Amino acid sequence: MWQSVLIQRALPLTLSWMLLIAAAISLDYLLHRADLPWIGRYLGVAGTAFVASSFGYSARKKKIVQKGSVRLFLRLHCNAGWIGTLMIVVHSGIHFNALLPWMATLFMMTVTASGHIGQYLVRKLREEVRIKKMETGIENDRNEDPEREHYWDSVTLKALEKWRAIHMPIVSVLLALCLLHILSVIFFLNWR
Amino acid sequence: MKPLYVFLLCSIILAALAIAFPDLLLSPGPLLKGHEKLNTSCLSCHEPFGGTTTARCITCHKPDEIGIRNTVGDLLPKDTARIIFHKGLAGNSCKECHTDHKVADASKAIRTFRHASLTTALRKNCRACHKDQIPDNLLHRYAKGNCSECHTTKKWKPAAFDHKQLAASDAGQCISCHKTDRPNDNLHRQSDANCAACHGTNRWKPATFNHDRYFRLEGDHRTSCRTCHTTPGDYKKYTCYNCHEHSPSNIAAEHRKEGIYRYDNCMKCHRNDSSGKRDD
Repeated sequence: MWQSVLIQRALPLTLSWMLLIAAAISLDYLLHRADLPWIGRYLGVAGTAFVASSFGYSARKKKIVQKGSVRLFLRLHCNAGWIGTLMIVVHSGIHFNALLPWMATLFMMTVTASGHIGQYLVRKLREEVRIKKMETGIENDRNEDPEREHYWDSVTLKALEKWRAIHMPIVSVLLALCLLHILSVIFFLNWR
Repeated sequence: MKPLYVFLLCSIILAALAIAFPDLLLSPGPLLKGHEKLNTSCLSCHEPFGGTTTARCITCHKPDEIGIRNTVGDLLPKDTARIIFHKGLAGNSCKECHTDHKVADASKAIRTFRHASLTTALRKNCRACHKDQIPDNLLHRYAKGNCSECHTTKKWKPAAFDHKQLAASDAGQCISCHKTDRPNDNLHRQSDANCAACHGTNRWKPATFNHDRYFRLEGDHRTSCRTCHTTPGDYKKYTCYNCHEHSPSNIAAEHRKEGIYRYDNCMKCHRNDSSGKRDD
């Protein structure tokens, strides 16, 4: 059973998402225990910065950012997103009661879960492409034509389209919620 | 639908909902009981990008009327401490103590109070607010000064009492407070003097009483204080005539026999102190 491809790829990602929840609860507990819950307020800002940096991946894909390996940007997207989400979930642990920030927190967890599913799909598709390449005998061709490499990337991307059709709208709703939450905080906050 | 359109559509819908139902979407918690009518009127207290300002508080809560009338002008039960307290406060200090959106109970919504927020005059007049907290005991009945002379502003205890704070007339009445501190030994039982005659105000020991400095109590002189110190409470005065050995007639006869006619001050010649000089 442990040799199953599903278990091998899905289990670490499921654990990663569950670890995110456990880490957030633990960190929140520790902050309250140490009488430092105010730190959570600032983790919201830091978390947002991390999540914002994860959008570097989209910028690289859309060629707004010209340089750098796409894979590296994808890894940045996953890791910065994970850390940013952790900080924002801890930030939500300072017990605000308004619906807007709670909805934002809920959507953030959903987007992170969806991101983990996307990560699973990318790994799965890469594996399938590798097998197809092996079948066609081009697996070990190190001097492969860049255009052919681009072809295989587009095959992967196309297969991800269905997932993106769900992931991106949730991200858009999350962005709208976050934007309104941040604006309302700036609008009502005591700056003096 | 393109993500950008989803984002714009959601932003518009959420903004409209936030404006229509700010208490549900934005408010971090219910307002205090007295503020419940303002649940959907955020801008009654919040200034855009400026937070809550005292100027907005005092549009309803007139500083001169706090503790006297409520915000609609009805008279309140007399609460002198509250009136004095709020009258003396600086003009922009509502937020120093008060907050909202925490719980419906106003008393629980008060932040940690800092005495530094008070005016200098009010800081020097602790009793204006704390008069009901003065313990009904002897010490506090005598202490007429400001609480801050002994207590800190954080806790009542530990307190540092200084006897200098007592009124001059009370300062000599040691025993009225220290009755139970008085040891039940021969020396203290016989003494009518004030504690301060021997003891300092910081500690009981060391005490300055040392009879040997004046006269060694040895041999037949080991007697009660009252034998020599016949004036109650005044140990500077003494007499040597109170025993049958030193009767006035004996002393007179002995001294005249030696040609001494001025013998009123016995100690002038008959020193018997710790310096070791003995002239008898």
